[in-house]
Amino acid sequence: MHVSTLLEVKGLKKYFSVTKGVLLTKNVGWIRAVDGVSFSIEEGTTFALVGESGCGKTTTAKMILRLEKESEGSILFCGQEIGHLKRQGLRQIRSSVQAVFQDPSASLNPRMRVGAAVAEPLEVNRRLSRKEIEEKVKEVLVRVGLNPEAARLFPHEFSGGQRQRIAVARSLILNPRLIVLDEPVSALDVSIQAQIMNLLKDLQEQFGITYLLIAHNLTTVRYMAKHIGVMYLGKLVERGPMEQVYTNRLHPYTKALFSASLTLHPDQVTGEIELPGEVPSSMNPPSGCHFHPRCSIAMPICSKAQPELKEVGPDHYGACHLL
Amino acid sequence: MNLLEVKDLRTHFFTRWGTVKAVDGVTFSLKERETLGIVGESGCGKSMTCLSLMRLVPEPAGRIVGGQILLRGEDLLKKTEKEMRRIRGAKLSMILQDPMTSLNPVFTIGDQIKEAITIHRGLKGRSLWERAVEVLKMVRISSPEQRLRNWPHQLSGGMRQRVVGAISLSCEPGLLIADEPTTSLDATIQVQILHLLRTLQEESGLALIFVTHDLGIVARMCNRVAVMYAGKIVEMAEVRDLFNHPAHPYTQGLMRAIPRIDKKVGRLTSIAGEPPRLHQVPPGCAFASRCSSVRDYCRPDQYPPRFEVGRDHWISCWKYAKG
Amino acid sequence: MIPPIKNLSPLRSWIQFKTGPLRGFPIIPGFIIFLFVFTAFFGEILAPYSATELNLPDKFIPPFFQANGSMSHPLGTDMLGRDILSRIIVGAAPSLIVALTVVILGGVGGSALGIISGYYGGKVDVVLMRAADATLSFPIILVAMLLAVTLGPSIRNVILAISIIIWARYARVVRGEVLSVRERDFVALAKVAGASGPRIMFRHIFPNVMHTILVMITLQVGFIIVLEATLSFLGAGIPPPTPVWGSLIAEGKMYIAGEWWISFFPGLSLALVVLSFNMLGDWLREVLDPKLRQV
Repeated sequence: MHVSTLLEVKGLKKYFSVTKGVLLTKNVGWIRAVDGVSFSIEEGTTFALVGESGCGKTTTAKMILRLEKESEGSILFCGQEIGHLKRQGLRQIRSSVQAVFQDPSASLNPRMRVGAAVAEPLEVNRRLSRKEIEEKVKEVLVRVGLNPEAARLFPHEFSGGQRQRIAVARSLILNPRLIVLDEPVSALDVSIQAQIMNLLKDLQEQFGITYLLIAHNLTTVRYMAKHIGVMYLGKLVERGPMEQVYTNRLHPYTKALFSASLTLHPDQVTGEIELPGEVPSSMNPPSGCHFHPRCSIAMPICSKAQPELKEVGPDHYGACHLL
Repeated sequence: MNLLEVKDLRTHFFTRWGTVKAVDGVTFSLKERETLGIVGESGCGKSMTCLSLMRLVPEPAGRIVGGQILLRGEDLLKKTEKEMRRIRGAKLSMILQDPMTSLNPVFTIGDQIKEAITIHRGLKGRSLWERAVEVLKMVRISSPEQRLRNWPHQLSGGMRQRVVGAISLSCEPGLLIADEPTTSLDATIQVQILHLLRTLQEESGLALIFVTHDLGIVARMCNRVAVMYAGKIVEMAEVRDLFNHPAHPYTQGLMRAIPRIDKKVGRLTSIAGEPPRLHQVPPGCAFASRCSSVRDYCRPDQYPPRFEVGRDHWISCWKYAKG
Repeated sequence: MIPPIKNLSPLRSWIQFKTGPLRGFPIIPGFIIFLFVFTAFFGEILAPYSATELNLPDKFIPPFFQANGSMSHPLGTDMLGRDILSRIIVGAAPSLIVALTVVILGGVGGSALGIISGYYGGKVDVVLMRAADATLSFPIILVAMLLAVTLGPSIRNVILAISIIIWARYARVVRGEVLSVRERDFVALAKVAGASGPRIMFRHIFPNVMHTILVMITLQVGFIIVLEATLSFLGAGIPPPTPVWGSLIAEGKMYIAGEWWISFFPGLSLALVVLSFNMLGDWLREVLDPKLRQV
């Protein structure tokens, strides 16, 4: 079966300028939020980008959604470069790439009825009659498990889980090919998380939607993703198929991250790797391999040269001098 | 004698929408050096139970309306506010979820630690400073002498949480209540803090009440567990028993709804419906409307009494009623 | 989530609704405002006497509760024999007209500029905010008087002068609100959906700053009315014979010691109306606060 790449990201970088002064500003440094990230996503699958705060995963997602302009690198959607698109071209991409964000309360305009919020992508991108739009809104609300009458209500009349369903409905209405899920369940109660994750998986199966999943919770990622990329301080330190990465963790950071995800039984307590220190600042990252100050197996070369992503297994890459 | 005995604790909130029974008949006990986990989702009453133990329930909206809290035999509910102030910090202490707001941004770390010590120990000058340094060393903060001069915004989340821990433990209380202390921290930092808490327990014989929604933390840290739902404890057991033989349908549902890190789960079974609105809790079992094991014997007008299902393991569920 | 509790102090409770969406609505101030607007509309019909015709034989009649007063002129007459009550009634309309027009020009206009400035940021923001700063630094009375002197006193010029001074306040405050609203997720998601700037400003930003604008308007109406009265008092506002309250107060200032009612009753009316608008604004602010809306 022919597998097509829906999204490809090459050497993506985003540097934020740090300035001093109020009226006459002077650049005093750069925050390297994303520092050369490359990956690709197969159509119909879920690619997860994981990492802790400050690793750059959310900024990467924003660049793909065109909410931020990349400093360097290219983003290819269906083989087409979307980095420099404006207006009309951007519009077209927008209808194929949608998003669901973390906080269901912040994702919906509190002053707008649910029906209007869900209809908005349709109103902006297509010329349909009032009736047709209403029909589509009802259809998509039912698809996410909500009563179509919900369209008339306001967001505050719903619970967190329901609001997230509304957000998912809105992201579906244009039949996008790619949906960026930025921590879609972390703000929800545990029992509701399962509902939403199942919903997302069902939708993927039914409609072949591709997901870029940003998450910090590895259990969510293991449940949902086919491929995974681990980020640290703006760089990808490991990338590969989910099961491969899980069984054969290459990078020391990946090992620490997975061990920090606690098992669900007191007798299965495996020794968690405790990383010393804190995540360093993205303005002054450590020299060479960014991870070396906290790495238990660091060698002299690690502080001098930055490791490149090397293929170690089938489609499984790690960025470490010891590989 | 148990370190802590809580009997039929009730804390209600009086609002214009009705009476919210945030804590509705909670009974448990805690031995010295023991760790009790209180698990539940948002709105189950776990945080309000902690605030009730500290007698920090926000008034006049809320009030402890019944029960007993026996700390080493003394009923805290019979104490005056003046007496409570002497107890808080010295005999029992609390740390909260958000380290950003737990520290006062306009005072240095040193000032805040010294404040706690001054109130209870009355130390001054040199000995006060030495105790503050000692306390920072206890929470494994490096260069404690310099840190005393830092401001909260100069520290990372993990560091701040350590400082908060230092402040609460500075006067050596026998009991520490931790309300979701690691929820807002990164996974690898969470590992550090959990290890720290374990070490502190071993070093000083501290008893710990750990409130969380994360069953992984419970498996790792706790000796006994209380599962809360809608203001009541629905199941209480030793940790192994809970994970090996979860008896209450809610606990069983939670465990099925959580994805695992150690195995690839085919499909999560979510719990239908939503947690109840706390001002509209029905008189019978609050979980009945979402329960997959609900039967005719689940009387709608009476709350199920406790049933022993194993050694030191009880639940409130009609399924186990005899006769 | 535990719902918040609402605690009305006992003093306020007996002049306010207790429950429902209009909870806490200040009844007496509301009534005063209603009376004000009603009077402004129907003033000419309501006034028992002409507000402008001289009636010298009847000058200096005191209010009805003093000796020599009578119910035919309940609030007395002024130095030209004109009935104070009628003058107050007829004078309500110009004040209201000025207030409303200024609100529309200065308030709505200023808010719109504030939304544009806050949303786009960058050069547009810098230029508009510098302009606003410049305007805010003008001493109000001086500017109004200057305009009055150069353009001649008239109702149109008064409106113009006050609008020029007022817009910057709205622009600044609204811009501040917009800065925080535009960072919220639903705005980003609207962009992801492909919405254009103007659409976002109109459908997303504006409804979420509307409560701020509404509160500012109600709180500022009082200020605008006083401003106009001050200008009229100083002779730079609406010229006679229009019986604007400011002019009424000014006319009576020489007689304060003796025929005190000539300035007093217009002044009292002004104070009551302004106070009522302020209380209404306070109530609106509480009711419209989105954080308190959730159950």
